[in-house]
Amino acid sequence: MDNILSIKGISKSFGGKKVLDDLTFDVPRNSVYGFVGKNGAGKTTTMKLILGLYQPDKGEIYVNGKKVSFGQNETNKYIGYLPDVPEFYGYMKPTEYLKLCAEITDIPKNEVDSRIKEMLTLVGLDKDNKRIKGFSRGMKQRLGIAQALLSKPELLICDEPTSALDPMGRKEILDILKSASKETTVIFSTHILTDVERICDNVGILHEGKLAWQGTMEQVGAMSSNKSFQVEFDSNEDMKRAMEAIKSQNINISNLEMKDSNLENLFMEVIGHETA
Amino acid sequence: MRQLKAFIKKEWMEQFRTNKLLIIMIVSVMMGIMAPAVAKLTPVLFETMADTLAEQGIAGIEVGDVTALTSWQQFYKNISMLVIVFVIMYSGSYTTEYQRGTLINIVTKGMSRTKILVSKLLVQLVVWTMAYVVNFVTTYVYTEYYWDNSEVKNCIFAGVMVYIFGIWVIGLMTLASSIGDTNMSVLLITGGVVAVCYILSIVPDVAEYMPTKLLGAVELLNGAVDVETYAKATIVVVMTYLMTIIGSVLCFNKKRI
Repeated sequence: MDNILSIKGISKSFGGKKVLDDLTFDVPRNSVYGFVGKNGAGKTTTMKLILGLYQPDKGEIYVNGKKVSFGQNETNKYIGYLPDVPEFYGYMKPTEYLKLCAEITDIPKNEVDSRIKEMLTLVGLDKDNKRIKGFSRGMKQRLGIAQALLSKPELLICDEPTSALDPMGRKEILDILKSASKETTVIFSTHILTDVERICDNVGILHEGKLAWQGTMEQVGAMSSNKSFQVEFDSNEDMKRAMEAIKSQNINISNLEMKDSNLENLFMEVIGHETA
Repeated sequence: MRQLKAFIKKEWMEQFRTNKLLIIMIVSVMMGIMAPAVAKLTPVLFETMADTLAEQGIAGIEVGDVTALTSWQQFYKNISMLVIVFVIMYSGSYTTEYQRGTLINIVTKGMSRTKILVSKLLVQLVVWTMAYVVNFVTTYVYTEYYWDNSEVKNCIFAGVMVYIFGIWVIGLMTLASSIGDTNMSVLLITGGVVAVCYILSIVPDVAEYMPTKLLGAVELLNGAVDVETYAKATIVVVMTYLMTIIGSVLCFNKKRI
């Protein structure tokens, strides 16, 4: 299979604490790869190693078939990176910042303006051309996506892009990432599992410095024994009739749960937005 | 080249939008005026206070003739302040970027780290040059107006010595920034090196080689010493400057940002 990213036996320790231990995995091209793990599992460290910001103690990383070397930025031209808390120069306006990015990544001069406009429209910041200093977390996150996608990278690395956002902001960011994945491979770290379920098609679970599990979302689905369903009824009456039918057929139910009120749905309703 | 130009543009914009340039220029002009003003006002001050001083039993203070030399001596007394203000203002040029993580976006876009360093260095050199020239010219013009600069020997040469010292300090600050992570560590390393130079200067034979000798260029003004006595220190400054820049590039390339 054609892999945009290959990590081969990476180990990394910080001050005697082993964060990554012989980590190996591949990310196939044109996928959305969910990189899941607890806080402190080593997700950010892995991403910074891919970007050549840290030096691995052991092992090799290949992006687009080229080896990543620490301190050098050769392979970074294939990568767009969205840090967990993207920080910008507060005295700049979004267009000015993106222009700086465009010049650094050497986007052809005649494309710069149209590309910036396209990105700002994509992330919904086209009407906010004020200094970045006054931006909210969510706006910074969106500008972060714009700068990461500006050069049309082959690999987009997002470090917990949704963790600090409100549900509305999360949904918006996920939608943007989903649409971005049509043109690029996305690696996306998170500890919010529902986010992974929403947009990823491949998952890797990082635990104690190793990849504890890796597979596609279909495999995730297949792994759970296909005996559980979640059924919703329009009314209490329908629900009671269904229960009676089950009872009359002597069907054994091993587990029955009442669904919690969905806070996310409620939140969306209250603030007047449609849920997905 | 495009990357370098883009980052220089960013650094330059920062000078304006964060008011750094404005502040350093105001300080320069004020200090430039202060030197001749203090020279001019000191005798007046003593005159007006003569009665009060006499009442307190302090009498017979003679204020010598105030000349262009007095004004320039005042200038060199104050000039280390300009260097200090500059260092304090620019000690965070790299470290605030480390702490806020703003360089991560830039570096992960394939920007060469050497170009980042060169951009910052160039802009700082330009700002230092502007600040110093404004400071020097202000004093020069006022001194010329009240007295006569031609009484002062090696006026421009002495000025250039202090200017070079400033450039050397910027190199030092760049090296400190590529090693240290915080604003404070940059100040400590830079200040520490300068302090060590001062301490070593206690030994007269060593003093000739110390970069800090350039700050004492005031002794050139009355013709007490020749310009040649600055040759050794200048050579040391040039050599160590090149070393700090090479060292900075090497350290910055491996810096965890």
